[in-house]
This record gives sequence, structure tokens and C-alpha cells, in this order.
Amino acid sequence: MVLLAAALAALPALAQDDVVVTSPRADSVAVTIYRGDLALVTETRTVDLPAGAVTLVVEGVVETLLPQSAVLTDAARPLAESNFDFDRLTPRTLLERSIGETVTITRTNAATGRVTRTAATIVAVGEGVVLQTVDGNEALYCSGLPERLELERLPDELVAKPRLSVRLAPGEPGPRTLQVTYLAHGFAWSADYVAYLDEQGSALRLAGWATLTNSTGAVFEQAEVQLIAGELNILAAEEGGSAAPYVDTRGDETEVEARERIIREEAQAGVTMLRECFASDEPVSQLADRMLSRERAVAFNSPAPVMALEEIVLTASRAVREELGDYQLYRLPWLTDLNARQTKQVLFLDEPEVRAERFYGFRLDSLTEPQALEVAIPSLTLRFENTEAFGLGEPLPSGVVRVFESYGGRDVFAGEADIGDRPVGLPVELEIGRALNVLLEVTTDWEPRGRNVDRVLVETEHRIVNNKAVPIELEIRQGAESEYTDVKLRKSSRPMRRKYGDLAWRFVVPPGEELLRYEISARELSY
Amino acid sequence: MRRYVWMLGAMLSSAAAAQGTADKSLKLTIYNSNLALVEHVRPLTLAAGRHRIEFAGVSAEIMSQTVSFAGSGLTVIEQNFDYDLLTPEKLMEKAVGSRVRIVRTNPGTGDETQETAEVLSTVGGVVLKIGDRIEVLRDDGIPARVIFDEVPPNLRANPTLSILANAAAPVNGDVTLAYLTRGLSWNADYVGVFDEAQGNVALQGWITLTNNSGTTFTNASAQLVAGDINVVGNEAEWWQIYNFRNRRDSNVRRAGVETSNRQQLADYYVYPLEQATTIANNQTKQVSFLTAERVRADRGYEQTFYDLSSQAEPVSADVRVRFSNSSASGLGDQLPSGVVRVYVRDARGQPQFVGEDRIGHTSAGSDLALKIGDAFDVTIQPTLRQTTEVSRQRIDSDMSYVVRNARSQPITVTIRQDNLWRFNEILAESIPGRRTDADSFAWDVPVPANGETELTFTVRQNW
Repeated sequence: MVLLAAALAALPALAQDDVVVTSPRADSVAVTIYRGDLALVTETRTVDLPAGAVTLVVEGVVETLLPQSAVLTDAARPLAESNFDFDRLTPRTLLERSIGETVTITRTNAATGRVTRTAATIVAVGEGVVLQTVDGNEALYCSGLPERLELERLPDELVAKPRLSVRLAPGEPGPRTLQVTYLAHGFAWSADYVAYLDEQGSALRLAGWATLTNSTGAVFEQAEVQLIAGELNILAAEEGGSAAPYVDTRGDETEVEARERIIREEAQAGVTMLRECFASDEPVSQLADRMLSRERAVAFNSPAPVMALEEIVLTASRAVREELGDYQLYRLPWLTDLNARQTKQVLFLDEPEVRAERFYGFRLDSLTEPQALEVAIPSLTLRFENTEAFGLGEPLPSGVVRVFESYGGRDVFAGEADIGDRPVGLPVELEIGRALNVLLEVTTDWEPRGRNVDRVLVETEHRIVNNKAVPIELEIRQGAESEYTDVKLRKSSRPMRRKYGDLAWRFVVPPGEELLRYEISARELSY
Repeated sequence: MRRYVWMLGAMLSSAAAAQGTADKSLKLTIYNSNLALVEHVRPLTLAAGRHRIEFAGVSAEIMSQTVSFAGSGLTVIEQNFDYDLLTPEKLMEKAVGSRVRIVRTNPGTGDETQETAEVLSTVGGVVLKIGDRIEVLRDDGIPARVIFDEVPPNLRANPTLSILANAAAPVNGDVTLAYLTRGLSWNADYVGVFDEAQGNVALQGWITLTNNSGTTFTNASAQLVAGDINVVGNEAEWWQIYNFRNRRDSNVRRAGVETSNRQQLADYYVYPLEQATTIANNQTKQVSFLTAERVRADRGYEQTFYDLSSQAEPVSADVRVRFSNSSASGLGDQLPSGVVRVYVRDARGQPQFVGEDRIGHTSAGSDLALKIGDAFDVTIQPTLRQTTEVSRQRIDSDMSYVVRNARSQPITVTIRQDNLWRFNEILAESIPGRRTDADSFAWDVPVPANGETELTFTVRQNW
């Protein structure tokens, strides 16, 4: 036994001679959630430090912590080194760290119910476990009999929860408040907008909801929560960056679920999973029996099964916006509990009256290629200026806008569209659907012109049919391929203005038919 | 009990003479390309003659072809690295030709019977010879335990290096074992807290050591080498090639020529760790190596366009934090390759993460411009207003970039027009620009607070 003890002592302790101070939990915590699977956790902890060199063990950190991002700040005590230890306590690691330890193996005779308890020593843990008993050497879970393994104690260095340990240089003793910050995965938020358009289609009420998700097992009680909108430069895990490592998902699995599955598989690899010991080809019925007994034989808990995001909490008060560098930061002005596997929705924008307009839009992408369809249907577009004068003037983080129209005193879903990050001052145009009862017939005719065959003259006619009872606003855009230069409008039946580099016409179409005719000359680029 | 003691011997994989298991000293030189040089010094006492010396606690990721062993008075005859890990499967394989015991439990009565069997084969099922019978193990579906009397000495719980050596005379001294291993690596990680108002960044550099070698290195004196060592079969990853060779918007704007006072090894820099340290398996360890409280820094907005075209969706400008690692700007040190994470303090003074960028090995005195993200409030809308073919293979393009600034401070946005082909010239421009290389131009566009500026230019291209 003396030999054994010596061997274990040679295994790593936290630090050689330092005093160990443990901080079991944070006094308070702030969580900043980014849009793509990332959060910054800032914990405030109070510790009482002795004057000498000390190893501070920070427990209760989030499992998905990114070790290289962890920073502990204490101006008074320089940091010698910082370690992140996360040898997850799993059936496999438990056995691996118990090599050389004495365990008890309990076998139950299925026929007589007689229980045999035998002392054994774990010799090796690889693809399977080898034990040494008084009889000789045996493989665990290979006999086809119900077997149960009991360990006397947990190996020292195995921690059920991940922990950060830092070695601090000698310094001023006494209680002090420290901050521990780190990035972690398993958190995300997204923006969703709801726009209620009034009956005239000239104003809308715009509400923005932030949906934040904690898919980790971490529980934050009374936490400060912030959300950040903007596109951060986040590098891939292979580059040493902060993005979550790539994971292969199976079927309908989410990435979070896939990660949990992999952890589970690794936890049981070779020690609890059904293996065909000694490559014997067993009858199927025996496999099932054996699997059953194997399950019974596992004396330690497997990791918790995957749970669906089960709780959705809606809050009605509003998050407050501030500028953070070149991004927007939304702060929940109250402390909130962010529970494990929870989804929360918070209002971050609510503007009661934003001036808006509806029009129908159509773009002809090509100068000379005829339309693929004989009849084109313009898209219903909702446009609003993002300025205070028009009732908005708020940055709009990217998300989906769902538009509801008032129809006969009820709100009817009218369509949805994505928007990218929109700063104040940039107008928003949402193509929310296709027009009903508005049709376009486009006729294009083109011919080479002049002595040079690379010059073209294009005549285009749009016949617009408005079968609605009310007049509509229509915008027609004409694009041109990059091989055309000297694109010039020669004739037009209506005034033209440019939009996004295209030629554009905007006019009112009363119920009935209208025409737009124009002639464009261009030159095909010679290569 | 005899077996028990033997078992411990196997576990420690100690020398045949049961000594030399602990390191007298352990030195590690870790490179940042998943490679380390390990040097164990262990005391050894041996009588004259031929000995098999076993080294426990060597890296499981050892590159056994790189092992060198030195001990005065010892001549190496051969060295072996045993990968044959002890598993039930291997135990059975190695038992071919020898005897095992089979304990069967009668499912009806619960009676146990024990028989001695000779293992004939293990390919696709275990074939046994019991007395005069030949059987396939557990072909009958009856629970059966297999008991092995011995574990073959070359099956081990951990990978073990053994050396067969000849001692001309009794040995009582130290032996040195050195080898290269995978699984130990390091990276630099930087934390930069950027303070725009003060015009500086507080930079902290951390060495992040990761140990996935399967072995814990106890009380090691470690040094880290910065520089890309060429290792055959370990050539740069795709992203390194992408980032450092082909990427045109590299974040190094001017390579430095200053010499720092760090220790050098050939053409590489060496970072020794001050204290002996224990690097546990699966541990991530961080050690501080650089602190610069105030490095002059500013923020810049940039965007590069690789063609001349119109876009309905405006493009966000890149946000870059710019600083130099020269002594004049308050740093004066080379920066080993790693990821710089940038933080900015929010309205309450709390640092918030705002993005990251990777730097290569950067010599002192270099100008860096780290891309941290896309500006929410600074957008650029490109419009190709007109193209005119002035003659064959000669085209004039009339381009407009409307730069909008929704922030409450005036800013400058650098717009670079790239990919213009050979023989290009700017015929007209609304803001004076500069040629950045043979096929690109750049303009610094000043934009008022909550306002916009339109940059227009006409470029003639010939091909």
C-alpha cells in the first residue's frame, strides 16, 4: 500500500506548496450575449487571501468556457499562472484515474440470486477494462453476467465541475473582490420584429423582440444581461479563435445536441458501452439480455440526458440601448434569472407610429434577355425611413420582420422579410410578398444598330394591369449586364430616376391598364 | 499478494531493477506547431551486464524514432516503444497457445463450473480446446467468465519506452532520455482593452499551453519557442496559408525592423517560464509574458472593393484597431503568433468583448491594423453610374461610393478599389486618392457626424 500511495502522490496536485483558497461561487454575474453562439461572462467574487503565494480555485464556472479567454483581475496580486482543469467526471475518466485502485466487483447469479462480492484491482482501461482478482485477470462486463463495480473513493484530480485555478504571487493579505471574465459557448440571441400596418398602409407600429437562449447547463441567478448587435470578427476554432468548434450533426440534431452526444459517447467509450467481448458472435437475444444487465451494472450516473429547451419566458419591459464601440448594446435594466436551457424574450424596441409606404416593385435584371415568364408579378414592398422625423430613428439589428395588416378590424399576417443590420438614416425596404391582382407583361425587342454590330437598341414595353379597386404605386427597375457599356435612355414615356445604379420609374397605376415604354441604347463590350 | 505487487510494477512501468521512475529533472521545449522536445534526467543504479530499462511517464504521443538515450557507461543495444495497450481483446490475442480458465454459470441451477482451456485462435471469435473438445467461446450463449493467469509483460496500461542496454561496469548515475512528442503545443493569446477616448490599448499577452499528450509532466522547467519550425508532414494548415500568404487585406501594414531584447535561438525567439510548472494532461495553462499598459492606438474604418458594380444592400465598413509594437508607441516587443481579443468598456466601465483577429509572428516595430468586426453605423453603398467604351479594350467607369455615418462623431473611411487590372488610371476623383499598388487605389473619405459623403471617381482601364 505504501507503494501505491507514493504513486498517487506523484500525480499532479494543483500546485506544489501553495495555500489553496477556493471560491465556490460568484457573488454576482453579468452575461453579455452575442448573436452567434458566444457570451462573455463576468463574475464578481470575494475571496480572503493569505499573504503568501496562493492557488485560487475558481469553481462553478460555465462548462463551455473558452480557457484561452479567461482573465482574472486583481491589481494587487500579480498572477503567476492560470490553469483550466476540466477532467470531466465520467464513467471512463473515473476508471482511468482509478488504475491500481482496489474496487469491489459484485456479481449476481441470475438463477439463484446469490450475490458474490470480490475484491479486484483495476489493471488497465482502454478498449475495455481489465481487472485483477484473486482468481487471475479478467475483463469487466465481458462475462455475460450482471456485474457491478464499486469504487471506494473519487480520484483526487477528477472534478465533477470545471474549474479555473490561478496561482497568485505573495502580496497584501485580506478579503478582496476579484473579477473573473471569460467567453463561453452555448448562448445566442436573435432579433424578431413585428410590424402592424394600419388600414391606410401609411403608418406602422414596430416592435422588436430579442430572443435569448441559454443552451448550457449553467444557471445564473439575478444576473445582469446584455445583448450585443453587430457583426464581430470571430475566428474559427481551428485558427485558435473563439467560435464554437465544428460539430457533425446527425439527423435533426442541433449543434448543442450533437456536442452533448459526443461528450456522452466519449464518457462511456470502452467502459460501459456494449462491446462484443473477445469478438464472439453472440445470438441477438443474448445481446439484448446482456445490454440489460450491463445497464444495471453501471453503478455511476451517466451524464444527464439531453433536455429540450423547455422554458420560454416573456418579459414585457424594454431593454435599454447604448453604443458600444461600433456595435449596439442592449441592457436589460433589471436583474434576471437565466436558467439552464432557457429561452427568454425581451422587448428592445417599440415605436408606435412609424411613417411607411407600400408599393409594388419589379426589376428587369437583363437588358436583352427576354423575361422567363410571360407575365410577371411585382412584389409587395414596405418601405420606411429610419429617422426620428418619420417616427423611428433607432438602429435595427438584423432579423426577421413579420408584417401584420389591419383588415376589417383584425390583424392579418401579410408576410415577412429579412433585414440586415440597419443603422439610423438608412431606409428599410421589405419585400414581404407577391402582389395579388397586379400583373406585368413585358415585351423586349432589340436589334443591332448602326455600322457597328456591338451597338444595340432595346425597346421595352411594360403593360401593367391593376385589377384592384384602388390605385397602386409601382416601381419598375431596369438593370443591365456588366458587358454593356454606354447604357443610355433615349426615349421614355414617363420620367426616369436612378436607383441602386438601375434605371427606375415610379408612378401610380389606377385600376385598369397602364403602359411604360422606353428605349435604351448600349454597347456590348469588346474583349 | 505477489501478483498485486507485480501489478504495481506494471503500472509504474519502472525499470527492470525497479528504479529510475521519477525524474530528477524534466525539461520541455515547446514549439507552436504541436511539437515539443522532452528531456528526462533520471537516476539509475545498475549492476554490470545487459539490462532492460523501462521508462514510465513518457509522453503517449512520443515520436519514438526521435528518442535519444545517454548514460555514462551504458551502450544501447535496442530501444522499443510498446504501444500494445492492455485491453481484454489484446489479452485474449496474446493468450493464443496458452491456457486460460473458463467459468460457466448454469442458467438453470446457478452452478458454476470451471475448466481449463487452451486458446487456439482469436480471429473472428475465440476458438478453445477444452480437454479433447474444440469449442467457440460463448457459442452456446451461456454466461462465461474468462480468467487469465498472467498479463504478458509487453501489454501495458500506458505506452512505455524500454531500452535494452549493456553496462560495462556497475552504473550509479544519471541517464538522460530525450525525444520529440506531439500533443504539447502553445499559442499566444492577447487581451487588448481599447480606449478610444485616451487613444490607447492596454495589451496583455498570455502563453496558452495545451497538453493533449496523454501524459502529465510534473515539475518541468519549460521554455517556449516562437517561430514556424518546418516539420515534414506538418506543413501549414489551409487557414495559415490563406491568412498569411494569399490574403490581401492582411493586418500587418508595415513590418517592423526593431530588435527586442528577448532571448533568441537561431532565428526563433525563446520564452522561458520562470518557475517549474506541472502541466497536467488535458490541461490548458496560461502564463503571462507581456504587459503594456498604454500602447498608442486608434480606430479606423476600411473597406476594399474587388470589382466595379452597383449594390442595393449597402456594405458595412470594417472596424480596425490600429497600433504599432514599436518602442515609440509604448510596446517595443515582438509578438508571437496568436489571437488578439479586443475589449471596449461599456457605459458602466465594464469591459465587453468586441471581436478578435489573428496575428502572425510580428517583429517589433510593425504597424498592425486588426479587423475586429463590421461597423453597425458606417455603411458604404457602391453604384456604378456609367461605363463608356472609349476605344477597343479601353473602358471608362464612373463609380460612386456613398459613405454614411450614423455615429455622432465625424470619421474617416478608407475605401480601396482593388482588382483594376494592368494599365489603369484615374481620370477624375472627388477626393484626392493614392495608388496603393499596380492594380489598386485608395481614398480616405471624411464623413461628418450623422451625415454622408459621396466619393466619385472615373477610372480608365485598358487590357
